[in-house]
Amino acid sequence: MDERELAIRCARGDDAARRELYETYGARLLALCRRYAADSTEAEDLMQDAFVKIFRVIGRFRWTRPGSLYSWMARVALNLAFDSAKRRRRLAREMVDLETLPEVAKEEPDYGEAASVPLDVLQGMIAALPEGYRTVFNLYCIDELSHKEIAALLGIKEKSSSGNLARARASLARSIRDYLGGGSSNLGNKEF
Amino acid sequence: MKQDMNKGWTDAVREKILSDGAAPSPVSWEAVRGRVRRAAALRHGALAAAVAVPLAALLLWSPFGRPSGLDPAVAELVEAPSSADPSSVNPDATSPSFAGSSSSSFAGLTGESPAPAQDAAEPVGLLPPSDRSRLADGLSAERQPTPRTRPTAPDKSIRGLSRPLLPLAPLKSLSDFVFAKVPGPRRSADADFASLKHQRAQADAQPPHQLPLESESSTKTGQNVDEKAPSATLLAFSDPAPQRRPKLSVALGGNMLPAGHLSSQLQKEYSLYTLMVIQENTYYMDGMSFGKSNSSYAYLWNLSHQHRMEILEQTIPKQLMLTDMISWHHDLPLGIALTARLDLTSRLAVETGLEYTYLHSTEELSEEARLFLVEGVLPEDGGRLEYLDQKLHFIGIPVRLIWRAWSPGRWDVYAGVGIKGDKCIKAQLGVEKLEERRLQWSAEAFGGVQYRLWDRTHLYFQPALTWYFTQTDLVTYRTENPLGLSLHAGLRFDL
Repeated sequence: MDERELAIRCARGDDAARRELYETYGARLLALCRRYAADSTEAEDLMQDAFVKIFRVIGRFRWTRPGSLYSWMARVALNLAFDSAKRRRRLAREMVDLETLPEVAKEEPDYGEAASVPLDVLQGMIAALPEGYRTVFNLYCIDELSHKEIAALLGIKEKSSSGNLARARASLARSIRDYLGGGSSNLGNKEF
Repeated sequence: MKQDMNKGWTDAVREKILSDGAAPSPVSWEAVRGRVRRAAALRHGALAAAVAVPLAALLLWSPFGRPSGLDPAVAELVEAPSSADPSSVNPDATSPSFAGSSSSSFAGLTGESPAPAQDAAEPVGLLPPSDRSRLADGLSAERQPTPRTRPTAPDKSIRGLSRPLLPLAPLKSLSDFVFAKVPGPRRSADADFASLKHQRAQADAQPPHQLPLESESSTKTGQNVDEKAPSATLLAFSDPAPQRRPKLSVALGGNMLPAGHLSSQLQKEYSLYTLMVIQENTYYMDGMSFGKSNSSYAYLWNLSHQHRMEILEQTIPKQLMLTDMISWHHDLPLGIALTARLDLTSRLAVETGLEYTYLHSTEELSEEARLFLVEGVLPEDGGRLEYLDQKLHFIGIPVRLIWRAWSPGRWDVYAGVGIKGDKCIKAQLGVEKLEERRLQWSAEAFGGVQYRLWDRTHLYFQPALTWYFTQTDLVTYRTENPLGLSLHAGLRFDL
C-alpha cells in the first residue's frame, strides 16, 4: 500500500499496516539511529522507542509528497535522539565558536574521489570526528536538516551549526585526501 | 531542503552512507509491538479509570444516603421465625430485610394478593419507632403466616410478598418511607400507593388500637381479610440517622495568568497565511484564476489536503524553504468558566460545567518570505501583510473529581483530577472564518485553595496542570504546549 494509506491504517491501529511500516522503513531508521547512538545496542533501543512513538502519534501525520512519511518518521527519531537535555548540553559544549578558530584551508575532494572510498573506511572517518562535528555533519549532509533545524534540535545557534559543519567537512575532506594518497588540493571557497 | 548546499563530494558520502541499511531483527518488531500494545492498554485503562472512578463514587456515595442499619427495637417487631403456621408469627422476631442493602432503598410496590403461608420466606421491612405500638397491638400471628428470612441482597422477591407485614406508618422523610403489605385483593401499584397514603392519614387521625388493619382483620383465622385495608406491598426500612443533604455550589472563575506569549518556529507545512500570500501572487493555478478574492485562501483551505498540496507543489519555488518562512506567536489562553460542584461526601465532590477559552495567535512571515513573495504587493484592504491574527473560541465541558484534603477554619485545601472535551465554536484567521472540526480532549490534575468570604461565598485559587492529548488541525498555543500550567481563580457560591 502507498504511504498515505499506510499512515492512515497505522493510525487506526492496523497491526498488519504497522508491521509493513516497520519492515519498509525499519532499516533506514535503524541506520539513522546508529549515526546518533553510542553503540548498536543503544541504536536498537532508540529505533524501538522511535517506532513506539511513531505508532502513537502517526495520527498527526499529514502526507504532502512522496517520501514525506519517512521524513516525518526521521524527525520523530531525531527528536527522541536529542531530547535529553544532558546530551544537548554536552554537544553544545563540544561545539566550537566560529569566531575563535583560525581560518581553515578548504581542500575538498570531488564527487568521484569521495565515491571511491569504501563504505567502512568512510564510516570510520566519520566516527573519528569529534562528536559535535560528527553530529552536525550527519544531520546536515546525511539527514538533510537545515542549520535552523539543527539549531532548534540541538539547542545551539545557527552560526554554531554552520561553523561546526565547516570544520567537520574540512576534517573529513582531509581524511579522504589522506586516504587517497594526498594529491593536489582542490581549493574551493565555499560559502555555508 | 537546504540552501547553498555543496552537492559534490558530500553527496557521494551521503549516498554511500545511506546504501548501508541492515534490517532490524524480527525480535525487535515483537518488542515494538508489545510495547505499543502495552502503551495503548495503559492509555485506555487510564481513560476508563478517569471515567469510572467519578461514576463509581457517584453511585457508591449516593447523596440520598443509605439505611444505616436496623434499629434493634424495630427489628424485634418485624422479624418472625420461619413457619408456615399462620398463628405462629412472632411479632418480636426481627427481620432486617434490607439493612446494608442500599440499592433496594426504593424497592417498589407489589400489588400481589397475599399468598398462602407456604410461600417462600419474604424479606420484611422495618418500621419507624412510631408504629411499634401499633404493631404490638394489632399484629397477629394469623396475618403473618410465612416465615421470614434475612435477604443478603436486594432481590425480586420483594414483589412476591405474600403476607401482611406491617401497618402503615406516616411518611416522615424519604428514608422513612414505609412499605407494608396487608392482605387484600390484587391491586395496581398506584392504587396501592394511594390507599397507603389514605391509610396513613387514617392512622394519624385515629388511636393506634383503632386502626382498621389491626382490629378488623380476622387474623386469628387467617381468613376474611379486611377488604378496606390496602393491599399494597411495600418494603419498609428506616434510617434513624440524620440524612446528609447534598451540597451544591456553583463557581464563576477564569484563567488569571498574566498575558504572555509562546513563540515557536513551527515546522508546519504551508500555513494558511502562506496560502493567502501565495495565491495573491499567483493568478493562474490549475487553469483557474483566483484573483485577489478574500475568500480564495479559504477556498484553498477547504480543499482536501492532498489537493491543496498538489496545487502548491506547482506554485511554490523549490528553493524557498517554507519552514523558514513562518513563525508563530501564541498568547496564553484566556478563559472563563461556570461550574457546579456536588459534594458526594464530606471529602469527595464531583464537578462539571461549561468553560470558554479564547486562543489568540499571530502568524508572521519571515523577512525572506516577505522579500520574495510580498515585494510590491499589498493586500486589497491595505492592512499589514506581515502579521495575521488567528482567533479561536472554544467551549469545553469538564468532569472533575475533587478531594477535600484539609479544612481549617475558613480555608479549604483540595486537589483533584479531571477530563475535559473542548469544541471550537468559532475560528478566524484574518478576516476569514475557518472550521475546526476536531474535538480536543485533555486531562488535568489540580490543587486548590478556597477561602470562605461570607456565609455561602468562597474565593478560590486553583493552579492546574493540563495535558491536551488530542490536537486541533489549526495551530494554537495548545498544539505547541500540550502540557501546560494554568491558574484559575474565582468565586464559589453554596446553594
